[in-house]
Parts: sequence; C-alpha cells; structure tokens
Amino acid sequence: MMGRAVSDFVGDAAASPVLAALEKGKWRNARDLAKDLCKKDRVRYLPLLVEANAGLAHDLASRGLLSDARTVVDHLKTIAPPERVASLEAFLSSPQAATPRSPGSDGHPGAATVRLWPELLRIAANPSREPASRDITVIDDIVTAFSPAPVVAGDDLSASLSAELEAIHAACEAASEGRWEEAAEAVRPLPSHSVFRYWRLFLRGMRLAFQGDTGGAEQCFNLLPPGGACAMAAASMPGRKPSSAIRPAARASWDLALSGEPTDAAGEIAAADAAWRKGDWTSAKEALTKAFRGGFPSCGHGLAAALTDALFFVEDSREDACIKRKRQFAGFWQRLCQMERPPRASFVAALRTLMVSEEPEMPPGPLTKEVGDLLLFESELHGPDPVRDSQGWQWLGEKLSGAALSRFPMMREQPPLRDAAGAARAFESATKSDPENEAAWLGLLGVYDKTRATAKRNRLLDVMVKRFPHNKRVLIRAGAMAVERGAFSKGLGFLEQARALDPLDPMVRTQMLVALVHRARDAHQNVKETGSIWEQIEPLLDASPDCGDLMCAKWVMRVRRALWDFANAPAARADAEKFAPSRLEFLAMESLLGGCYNLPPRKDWQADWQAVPPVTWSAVGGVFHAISFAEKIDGFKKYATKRASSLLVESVNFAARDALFVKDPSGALRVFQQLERTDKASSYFLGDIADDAMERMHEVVRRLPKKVVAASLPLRLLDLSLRESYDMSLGETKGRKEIASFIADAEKAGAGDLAEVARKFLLDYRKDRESDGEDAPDFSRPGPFSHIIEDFMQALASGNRKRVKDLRAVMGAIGMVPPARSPKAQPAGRSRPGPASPPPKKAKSKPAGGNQGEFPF
Amino acid sequence: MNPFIVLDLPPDCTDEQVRGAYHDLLRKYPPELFPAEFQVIQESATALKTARDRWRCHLFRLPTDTESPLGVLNKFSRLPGRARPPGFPAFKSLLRACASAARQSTNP
Repeated sequence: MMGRAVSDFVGDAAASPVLAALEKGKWRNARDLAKDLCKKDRVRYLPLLVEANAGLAHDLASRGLLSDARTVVDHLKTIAPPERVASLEAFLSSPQAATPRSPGSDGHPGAATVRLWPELLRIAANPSREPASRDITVIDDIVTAFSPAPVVAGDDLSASLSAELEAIHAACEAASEGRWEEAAEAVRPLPSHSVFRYWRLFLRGMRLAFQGDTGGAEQCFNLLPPGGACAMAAASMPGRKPSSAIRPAARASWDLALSGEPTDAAGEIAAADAAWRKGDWTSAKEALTKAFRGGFPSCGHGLAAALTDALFFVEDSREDACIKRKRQFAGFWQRLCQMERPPRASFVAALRTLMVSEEPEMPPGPLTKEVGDLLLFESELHGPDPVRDSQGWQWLGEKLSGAALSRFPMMREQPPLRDAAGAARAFESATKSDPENEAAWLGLLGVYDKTRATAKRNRLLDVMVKRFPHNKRVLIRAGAMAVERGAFSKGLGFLEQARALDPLDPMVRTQMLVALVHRARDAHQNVKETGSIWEQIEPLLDASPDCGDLMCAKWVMRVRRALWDFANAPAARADAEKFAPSRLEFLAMESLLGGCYNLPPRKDWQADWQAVPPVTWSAVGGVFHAISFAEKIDGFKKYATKRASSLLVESVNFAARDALFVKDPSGALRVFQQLERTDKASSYFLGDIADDAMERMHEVVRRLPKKVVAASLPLRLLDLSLRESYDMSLGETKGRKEIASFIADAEKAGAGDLAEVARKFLLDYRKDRESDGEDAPDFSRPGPFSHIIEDFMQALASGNRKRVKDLRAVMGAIGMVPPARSPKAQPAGRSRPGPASPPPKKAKSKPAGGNQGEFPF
Repeated sequence: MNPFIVLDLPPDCTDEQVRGAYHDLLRKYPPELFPAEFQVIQESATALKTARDRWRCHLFRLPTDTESPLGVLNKFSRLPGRARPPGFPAFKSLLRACASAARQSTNP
C-alpha cells in the first residue's frame, strides 16, 4: 500500500492540486484535498494524505506547537508506515523541534531532512536503480540542509544512510577550507552504490578544480546528473562558467569568497548588476559605492579597481540599455564638472576613459587641455612623477601627429598631420620630463620629418645620437636620414655602429645597402670610380633567388652593376641572369632599373624580351614584385607607369601565349589575387599598373571557350572574380546565383579553400559595391555620444533653452564642441575641463609640483 | 583583464615588484601545466615591464570589452592565483542556493 512515493503521482491529474499544495507547504489544504481523493480511492491516494499530515506535524513542531504536532503524529500512527512515524517522533524529541523558529524565517534546514528522510530511505532501498530527477532533488535537499539525520533505533538502513550523510557533510566542510586529504578520507568509506555517490564525485571534481587540474575536474563534473545541485555548484568552480539559474546574490557571495574578499558586499554587487543590465547606470554606481564603502579608486589593483574599470567604460553600442547607461554617465560627468570640489578619484576615472574613447573626435585644443588636467589630478592624487608626465605628453604627441581626417578621401595624397605644432610641443614636453624617453625623441623626429623641418630634424638627430649612442633604432634613423641628405660617410658611420650592436639585424643590412647604392649612383652620375663600393656591397648580399627583399638580392644588385659599371657589365649581367629566379624577371628588372636611372636600354634588350622562353605564373608575379620594388626608387615617376604597365601586360601575354590560363589556372588565380590586393592597398601608380594587367587577364579569360572555363574550378573562380571586380558584368540575381552555385560545386569537390575565397572575396566585394564603395561613410553607425547630439537637436527644436544650455555644456566638457564662452570662475589653483572651463590658454593647465613637463601653451 | 589586477600591483610599483609577482604566479602556474594562465600572466608582465609601460597602461588603457559587475567579479575571482577555498559558510550558502535553483528548475 505504502510503496508509492509522492513523486509517483506526478503524472496523475487528480493528484496535481495536492502535489501543488505540498510543494507550497500548504499542509492543511493538501490534507483536505488528499482526504477527498481518499474517499474515491483510499488505497491509491493514502500516501498523499500521509505526506500532508507529516508535513503538517513537522510544521507545527518547528513553530513550537509540539502538542498539536503530537496529535497529528498520533493520527498518523493509524495510517502511516511505522518507520515514517518513528522518524517524526525522533524529530519531535530532537532539540531542533524544541527551539521554535522565528516568524518569517525559513525554519530549520533540518526540517527538510526529517520531512524527506522517508523518501531517501525508499530511494536507498533500491540501490540498483538510477535516481530520477525528483530523487536527486530529495538527496540534494537533504545534503544541503546540513542537519543531522533523524535516526531510528534498530533501523539499519537509516543508520547507515545517516553515517554516509555525516561523512558527506564532514567532507564538504574540509573541502571548503582546502583540507583536501581530509575530505577524500571522509568520503572513502561510502559504498559505490551510495545515494550520495554524486556528492562524492562533485567533491573530487572540486578538489581537482582548485588544484588546477581542469581536465580531471571536467571529467568528474561531466558525470554529475544535469540540473542537480551538484552540477550547478560545479559550474561555479574555478575555470568554469557559473550557471545563471543560481541567484545573483549567491553567485556574488561565492565569487567574493573565492577571491578572498569579504562577502558582505554580495547583495550590493548583485543589485548593481541588475541595475547595470537594465541600463540604470546611476543605481549601479550607487550600489557599488555602497559596496566599496566610499568612492571609486582611480588607481588600484583589487576588485574595486576592476569594477571601476567596468563601470566607467563608455562602450559603443546601439543596445537600448547601453544607450541609457551612456546618457546617465554623461549626466554624471556633467554634474562632476559643475561641482566645486569633485571627488578626485571618480573624476580621474571618468576623465581618463572619456578622454581616451573620445580622442579621435576631439579637436587638438580640448584634447591637450584634458591631458594636462589628467596629469595635474594624477599628480595631486598620487604625487609627482616625471615618467608619468612624460608618458602623458608622449601619448598626446602621438595622437596629434596622426593623420588628420582628409576632406577629399579620393585624392591619394599624404594627409596633413592633425596638429603638427601641438605634437612637436607635446613631444618636447615629454622629452623634458623624461630625457631618457627614447620613444618621445623618435616621435619628435617623426614630426620634424613629416613637416619637412629639415634643419630642426638634423639638429635633433645630432642630439639624439649623442644621447643614445648605443641605441640601434636611433642609429638606424640617423644613418638613413644622413644618407637621404647626401652625407654618405656620416650615414654609413651611424649604420656601422648599429651593425656592431646587432650584426644580424636585417633592417641594418637593408639600410646599409640603400646607403651604398645611393653612393654608387652618386659616383656613377659624377663619373667616379665605383669598384670599391661594389666590394663593400658584396658581403651584404643574399644569393637566395627567392629572397623576398629585392634590395638584398644578389641578382638585382648585379643588374645595377651591369648598368653602372661598364667595365664589368657583361660579367655582371651573366651573373644576374644566373641568380635571377627567371629570365622574364631579369629582363623586366633590367628595363625597370634602367628607366629609373635614366639609362638607355641595351640594343638587343627588345629582341631578348620578345624571345623570352616559356614563362610561369610565378615569374609573372615576380615581374609585378619587381615593379613594386622599382616604384620606390627615385626616378621611377619620371620613368612613369606606362613602361612598367606594358612590361606586366606583356608578361600576361606571354602567359597566354604559353596557354598558362588552361595549364595552370591556380597560378593565374594567385597572380590575380596578388594584383587585386595591391590594387586596394598600394600607391596610386601601382594600382593603375595592376588594373591594366587585370584588364588584360579579363580579356584573355573572356575569350576562352566556356567549356574550358567550366571544367576548372580555379578558372571559374578567376572568371567570376574578374567579372565581379573588374568588369562588374554580373547582374544582381544572376551574379548571386552564379557565386552560390560555384561555392556549392567547390564544396562538393572538396575545394573548401576556393569556396572560402569565393565567399569572402566575391560576397564582401559585392557588399562593398552595393553600399557605394569603401569611401562612403557609414552613417548608420552612431558615434559614441550621438545621442547627445540627438537630444541637443530636440531641445533646440522645442525651444527648451535650459536643456540646450546644459547639453551644450556636456558637449563642451567631452570636447565635441569648443568650451562655452562665458565660463564661471574657476576654483583657485586648479584647472579642470567642463562647461566652466576657460578656453585653453598658454600654461594654464601646467601640472603642479614635480611635473617638469612644462607644456608651452 | 587589467594587467595591474592580474599581477595585483599598483601603477607606481617597481620593476622588482613586477618580476616578483610574475615569478610567484609562475611558481603556482607552471607554463607546461597551465598554458592559458601562463599566457595571461606573461601578457600582463610584458605590459608592465618598465615604469613607462606601467604609467602608459594606467593612464590610457581602456577595457577591451563591456562587462557587467557580476561578470567582472566572476572574472576577477578566476584570475590566476586568486581562487582559494572559500570557507564553510560561503560553501554552504552556495550549495543551498544551487539546491534551491535545482528545485525550481525541476518544478517550475
């Protein structure tokens, strides 16, 4: 009769109201409903009546109503099995029942143990059966109650279960304090079929997780029943992602305890998390302020610093919650700016992130002022530090020496610097604050170089070489610049010094070769002897024919020598041809260098070129590589693109002559990809040259029979790519279909790489073209503070002058517009950004104390 | 994660302190056993190698991704060298919360 457990009634529709009442702890209600059911089928529904009465007895006892509880137990003696009655009586006589719980509390955790113990006995009575999810819940509830079991004298099963539970509890306590051996020892006597076997497994996984054996821990945790308390707790172990089903406060408390932090801030952190997720930045900040018991650290290394980092980060997203957070953060910043004495740490934390994230859109003046303010506040907070000041000014110098936004992006010219004078002043301040800051010196050199301030640059180089005599980077720069202005001996001297510091540095070798070639060219133009220079060059050369750096390639240098050193020209030419990767590349290089150096071609060059032996696609690619190399040589522009272009087009013709499009379509595709990549990312001249060659390739492929193209996947992809990128002849629907069909065929044939190329290149290219190309600005993407502009426009339209004024102040504070014209008076001895700030003036934001980086503004 | 937080050092620390923190963590997390942790430790120590690097990182470094307060806390507690046995009260409350969540997911 009583073999049925409550869980067996789960599918029974008639019993479901009783089960719901039992779950909610509405014992009297459950009892009444169970009585009604028993009137219909007593044998079947009696266990429900017993369960309801047992729960009621337990509830009464835990509220201190022991005599009432005893009455219920007496009644139970007539309907319940003796072991159930015995466990209840044990509870009634235990100290737990003697101490009534306070109103509103959850009651004794031991209550669950007593209530669920009979169910556990039933589960344990059938050890071979895999426990159902309801059984797992019962076991978990009993373990997590951390209460002794209600043992009944003479009941062996109950006694052994009680001992196992005690062992699990002891192991949990030991494990939570890192006493791993003790924990393992505690659970060792548990039989393999114990109802608590998953807990033993969990504790073993926990030990492995804390000891860093992630793999072993995973193996243990993977065997836990999913959805149970063990699996959820396992997810909270180190190296694992916690389950979102656990209450946020409990997760926070656990993570705080894990990292050795006091757990009393768990509630506040959970509240901050909830507010943050809703976009309520202000409430999140308030909750975290409570959690930190004060302000936000601007410079820290604990949990508070990590949370400060996250809270004061302005992310760029279109999510509603994120936009809401940004608005509240902007409001907070505005309030900070209007305060007489804002909390320094919060102010610095907010200023730093706002400045760094808004820097690309900020005009140079406000940016300079904010850097000055940041250094001033840092100095006040943490004391003076010249290295810190130097880093601040160097950062500003780097930002101001970046390229300004071009108003004419189609014009392929070098854009001016964002603020050359400001960048120079910032780098000068950085070098004054920290004279050993090599990067700042190099930055200043770069500014002089880009602004063509040659005299200043040369003077600076002399100073730098004296200051950093053992710095390879400085010596290389000094050498290269000396060579550029024709001071070969001086330049080579610097480069020799750099080479002595690092004989294997390829950059030094290349720069030395550049210097020597310059010298040889100069000697040739002035009809001087070049023999000794070639001797100096020789040891620096690389004989490897596939050397990527053509400056160091022996064959290229031999071509040069053949052009300049008349006496040794035939031998040099023969050598060059021997070392060159192909005759095609040798002849192309001869023509290109001759053109750059304004030398007439050999008499028989044209005949040699026309009679070039069968070529390969690698040689055609090599010709383009040679053109890219020659394009950087002074004189190439005079020589112009026309000759270089015809060399490349003729090379493609040679490939067509030798039927390479059909014989080696993969090579053709490789060359096309090389040309296509260069077209996008290289200079104006090279782009035009690549265009001409692609046009020729397109003509050749177009004339190939369709069957031939269809038979080869690489050729099909080449055809599609040429049509898509060059000819644009693919129609919208037809084009997409063709691309999709090609991708399907390639995947079917196992050519995943070709399918990937088609997917990436063709589809991306099409997307670019459909959105009007790469130069079209993406107006759909909002700026980091675009909502402020929207609000400002709305306020303007509605005539809300106060709101307009406030938002104007915010925009001024974050550098979107110049600061307001009529500022309030500044507090003495401090400058700060914001609506009340005056426009930046010379030396206005000079850092105090030890800040030696006087910024001459 | 912020390298100062990984190595548990302030921005005005010395080169020796960085080296010390690095070696302490490496002793706990040898690279051959903990490659992922080693990478985090190595990157953090490299980012804070000199005083110039440290100030630069302190003044101008932005978080790489957006993280909620609980996410930050979770990452923080799982940093190399941070996680330690939490003590019995915290463990009990975690297990009870898990049991309660499991019960709710079984009987929603």
